[in-house]
Amino acid sequence: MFKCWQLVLICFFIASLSVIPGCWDHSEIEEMALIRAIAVDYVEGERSPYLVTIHVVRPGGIAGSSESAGGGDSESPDRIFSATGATIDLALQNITFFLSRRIFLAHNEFVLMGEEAARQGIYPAMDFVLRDNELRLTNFLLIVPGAAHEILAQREQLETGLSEEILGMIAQADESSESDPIEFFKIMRSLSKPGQDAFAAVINAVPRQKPAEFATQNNGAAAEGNNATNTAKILYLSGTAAFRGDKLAGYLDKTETRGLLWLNGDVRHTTLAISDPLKPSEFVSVYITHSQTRITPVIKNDNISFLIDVKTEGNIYHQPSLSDLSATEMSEKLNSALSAVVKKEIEGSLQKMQELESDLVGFGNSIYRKDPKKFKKIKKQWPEIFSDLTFQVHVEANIRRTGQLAKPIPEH
Amino acid sequence: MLEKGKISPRQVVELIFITIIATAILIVPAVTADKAGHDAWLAAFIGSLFGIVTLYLAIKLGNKFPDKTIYQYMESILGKYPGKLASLAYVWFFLHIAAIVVREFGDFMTTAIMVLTPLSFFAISIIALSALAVIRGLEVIARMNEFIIILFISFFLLVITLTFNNWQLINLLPFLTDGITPVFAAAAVPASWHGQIIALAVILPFMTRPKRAFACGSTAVICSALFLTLGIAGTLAIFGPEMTASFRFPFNLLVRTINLGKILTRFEVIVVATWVSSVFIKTSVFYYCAAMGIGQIFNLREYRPAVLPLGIIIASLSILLFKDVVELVDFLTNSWPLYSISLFSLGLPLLLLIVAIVREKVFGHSFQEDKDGV
Repeated sequence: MFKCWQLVLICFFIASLSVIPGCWDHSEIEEMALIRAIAVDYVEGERSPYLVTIHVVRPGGIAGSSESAGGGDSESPDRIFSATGATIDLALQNITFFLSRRIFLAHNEFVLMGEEAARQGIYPAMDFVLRDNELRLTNFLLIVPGAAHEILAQREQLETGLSEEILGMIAQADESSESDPIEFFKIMRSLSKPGQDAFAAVINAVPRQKPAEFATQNNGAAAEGNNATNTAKILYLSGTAAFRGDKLAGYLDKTETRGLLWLNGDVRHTTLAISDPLKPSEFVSVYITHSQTRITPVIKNDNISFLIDVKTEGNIYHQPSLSDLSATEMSEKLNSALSAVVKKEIEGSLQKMQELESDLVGFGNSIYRKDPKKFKKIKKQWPEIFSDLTFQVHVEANIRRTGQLAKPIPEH
Repeated sequence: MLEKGKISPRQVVELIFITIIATAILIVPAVTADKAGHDAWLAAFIGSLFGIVTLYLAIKLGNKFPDKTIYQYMESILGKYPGKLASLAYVWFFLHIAAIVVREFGDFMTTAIMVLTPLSFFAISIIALSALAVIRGLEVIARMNEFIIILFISFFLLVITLTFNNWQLINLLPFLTDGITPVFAAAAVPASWHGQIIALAVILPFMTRPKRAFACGSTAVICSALFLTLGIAGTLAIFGPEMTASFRFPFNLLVRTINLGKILTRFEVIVVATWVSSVFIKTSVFYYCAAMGIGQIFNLREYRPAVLPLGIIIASLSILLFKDVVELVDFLTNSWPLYSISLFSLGLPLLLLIVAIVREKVFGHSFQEDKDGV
């Protein structure tokens, strides 16, 4: 069947299998340090300003923690290492002196950037992620107001490992639409488009308050940094960092973030409180199920304005009061109350973006798409033009369903 | 005859399709996006249709000389020695393409997957594989391709489908910002890729039903034009033209953006495996054409003795031709379209056709009774 030389060739190929798989690039799993997160900080005035902290999953740590799960305070499966360097990759190289394994970036999930690093510009991180053949474009970029490495020092709450915890929070962000964690390629896409600025989600470590401490405060939300005695912190993913070019311009708080998401048509689900039409002191909450946004530039000679049409739908989620809102005219009133709330959020967000001169929605880009020649003329002054723009916001809200209850159950 | 195998019209379609698209999808998106911006997809489509022109010339010539390859009828048309010289030029052209393909493949692998592995390793391994296929003949390559094309098409469509949730079709706007001129400038590169269909002039005599050759060839060109356009539209919609133009291999990064529910992710290795196999087919086709050329120019009884030396030439050319990846892409963008189209995809076939017609009509020469040069 086979000739002699063919047999020799076949034997050679089979034998070579044991020597050459993966060629020069072979890497064994037990020689890798699996990196799950990178934190990038910028130390002003140093020769090697980038302080990079990597978050490594300790091999065996995951298995170990599940065994001792009943033992209460088990050891974290994570380890962090830091080093400084003139660029991100040089800092990573300096970290290798502390590591017993090769840095393996393919399983990295997100990059955290400290405020100072973000003010210096996010492009270096963009370049690093896009150019490297191990790092993935679907990494998330999160901005930390403060030092990024502090986030990695936190302990996980529910998951095995901090990276899983933060990934869970990212996946969870859809539920409230008050944070919009997006991937590197989407940020780079906004960054590269004419007439559009990029944004990224903000993560912060806030002091962890015991339930009793909430009671002493008027503000129900986890307030930011007013409790000096309590050192335990908890991660908090909310708000948006707005960029001008690749440099951090400022922050949008969570309501303004939702305004931005309305503008981008990215509100998935969220619960909004609107005042009860019959008893204005009470609230009715609406769970948003659907939203759609259309932005039309109106260009009249040198006068530019925008029409913003938002259509949204929701269900009544909760109604603490007893007022009967089941009549048709009541649902009209509820709809207009809801659209007023949405409109207010959008306008608040627009105002903030105009203050920051940061066009996160891409209004300039919509002019560019409609009239590229016109946009080329105003491109230079676009931030100033943007901050003086007028917007006409029109919201059409429809409450489609009322949940399991048709109307409140009267007490007797 | 040097080739005893026969391939069916369907196999011809598949062979041409893979031969064009295998490397086009790697290099063309970045180049067209760089030159035509938002309209890169249009440039790709217009450019691709140039393939029909080359195809028409090849078929016209083929119909005048049934059962003859381009090497054989060039001797009939141009005379023995000028014909042989032109044939040698074509052999060089096919070797050049094969070397570029191998180099593109190697540069892609060392950029995206195996950074430390030397280029020569990829060149030698793919040439060794292709040499085996070429020794076995055209029919074997065509049959192998029937399997590979299933992989290629299904993975391509899978990638497009899975990335669809990230598409922003507004990235394709504004349409024709700077007029049609940059679109035509960018169309040269996909046109040069589709000009490679001239390989059909070698394969044509081995087709079972040569009458259907034009239908087959145009199906292949239109399919590959559609796939290329779809691929470029996808990269533009996901990354926007500015980012696409900055990427080395945009389609690879497009694959890397797939992340559906954390389960459907990290597809690039499967896709790269598909590319490796289609690049293998592409290399084999041009390698085969070159080997067949040597066999027919020198009136060998078999083309097989030429295979190994040609392989060594291709492998070493692939490494020696370009200093680095920048030079490779620069060559493919700026020099290759002019060089390949003006000489091999359009110039020489057109010249051959004109000379043949003039000799028939003006001098009353009949090629059918012409027996010399075979």
